[in-house]
Order: sequence, then structure tokens, then C-alpha cells
Amino acid sequence: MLWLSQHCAAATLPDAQVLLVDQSRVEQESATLQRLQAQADARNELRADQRKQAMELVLSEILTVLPRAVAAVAQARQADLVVQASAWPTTAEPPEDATDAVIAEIDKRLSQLQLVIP
Amino acid sequence: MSRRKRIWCCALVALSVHTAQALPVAYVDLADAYEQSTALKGLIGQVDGRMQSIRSAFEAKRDPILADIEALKTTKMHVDAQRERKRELLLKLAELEELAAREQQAVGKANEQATGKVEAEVEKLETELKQEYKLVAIFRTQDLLYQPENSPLDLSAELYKRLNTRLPQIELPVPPAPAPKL
Repeated sequence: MLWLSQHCAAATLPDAQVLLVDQSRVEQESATLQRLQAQADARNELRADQRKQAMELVLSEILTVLPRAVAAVAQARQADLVVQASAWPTTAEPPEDATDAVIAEIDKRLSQLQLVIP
Repeated sequence: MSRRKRIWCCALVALSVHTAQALPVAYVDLADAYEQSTALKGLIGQVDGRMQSIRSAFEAKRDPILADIEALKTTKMHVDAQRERKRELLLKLAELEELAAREQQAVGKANEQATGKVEAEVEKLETELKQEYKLVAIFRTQDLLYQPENSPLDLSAELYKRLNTRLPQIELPVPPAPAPKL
């Protein structure tokens, strides 16, 4: 009975509520990025390196806000873990992809972000 | 709207709200590996010791050469002979520096080999934990974008406990350095 209880009780974890987020999509598809890229492209007086540096600053802001945005979406959906989509094993059925929600959350938080020309 | 219809509507709304999917997964945090693994901690000590040894041996041989180069300035010698002597000493110094650099590289390679063995053991343990806990996947924290603090899904303590039992220490695979000549 003791053997049975010991071996049945061993090695269990609660199932985790999991979400996937594709960070590369976040970095490319954010409306904030696209809005400010369009602004940068429209500024004819800027040099190519100035446009590049300005967009790097925008991307840096997005990546700074990313953890909080992910946490907000995770908490709203009662997730225990948010995994990088690229890290999910190809042999396993993937869980829900929350990339769109994270992008929307980031764009909401950065709606007032303006282009800064270094 | 009747009470029954209201209840059905609420139920449908509740079902349509996104909830994350429940899956058997876990993760390990290897950021502290050099603190948590007794093998890696010991390895750092060995690497530092070997590098210090190489440095001491190098300085013990270098300093007399530098002194000889300095002494040439005040030695009465034909200019050509002085130049030749200086060239010989500088060549000796360069050979010494090259030898020290090669020895340091060898320690670096040996360190890589040893940490590779620890990494291999960590991977074995990850597979073991995955099978034991019947997980779909076991992640490393670098794969995660969110995990709450003190999560029950964190198996780091278990992994390090097993690692330190199976591989409490690892030897740096280089021959011992020769003692510097006094």
C-alpha cells in the first residue's frame, strides 16, 4: 500500500495553461511600427541612417513594452506560461497563439509614441 | 429577454472568452547554473587557477628579458651588436607571449569540453524529467516570455539536485602547468 501510494504520488505537476507568442511577428507586424515607419518614409529630409536609427528606437520601445504586454494578456487569459512560438516542439499540438492579442496590447500602450530622430 | 435566455447568453459569452489551453509542461532556469551546479562552480576555480599559473609562469620568464632589454641602454656595445641583441630578446619575448597565449587557448578549449559534459548531463536530466512527469515539453527560461514567480512548473531545483548528485564535480582536462623557475 505504501509502495503504491509512494509511486502513484511521485512525479506530478498541475497541467499548465499555455499560450504561444511569435516574437518575430510582434517585431514586424505591430501597427505602431508600421505607423512610424510610414512617418519616417514620408520625411524626405532624413538620411537613410537617420531613418534606420529612428526605427531602431521604435523597435526598442516595442521590446521594452513587450514583457508587460505579454503579462497583461497572460493574466487576462489565466495563463501559467507564455512560450516563444519557435520553442514549441513540432511534434506536439500547439496551444493557442496569442500573438495578435499581444500586438494589440503593445499598440494600445504605444499609441502616443512619436518618431524621434537621433 | 427571459431569464433562461439570459443564462444561455451568459454561458455562450463565457465560452467564447479566450482561455489558455491546459497542457503538461514545465521549465528550468539555467541562468544560475554556475552558482547552482557544484561541478561548474568547481570548474571556474580550476580555470582561474590554471590561468593564474600560466600568468605567473609567463611573468617569471618575461621579467628577466625585460630587464635585459632595459640594461642594453646602458651597456657599452657597438650599435649593430646592441641592435642584434635587442632583436634576439624581443624575439624571445614574442615566443614567450605566443606560448602563454597557446596555453590559455588550451585551457579555454578544455573548459569548453568540460562544460560540454555538464550540458550533456543537463540535457539528459531534462529528458528524464520530461518522461517522469509525462510532459509534452520542458522549456528553458530563455524560451519563455512569461512565467509567474515561484511557479510550480519550475523544475530547476529538482534538476540541480539530480545534477549535483550525478556530477558533483568535473576535472578540467589539461595537464598540470609546470612550476615557474625560481
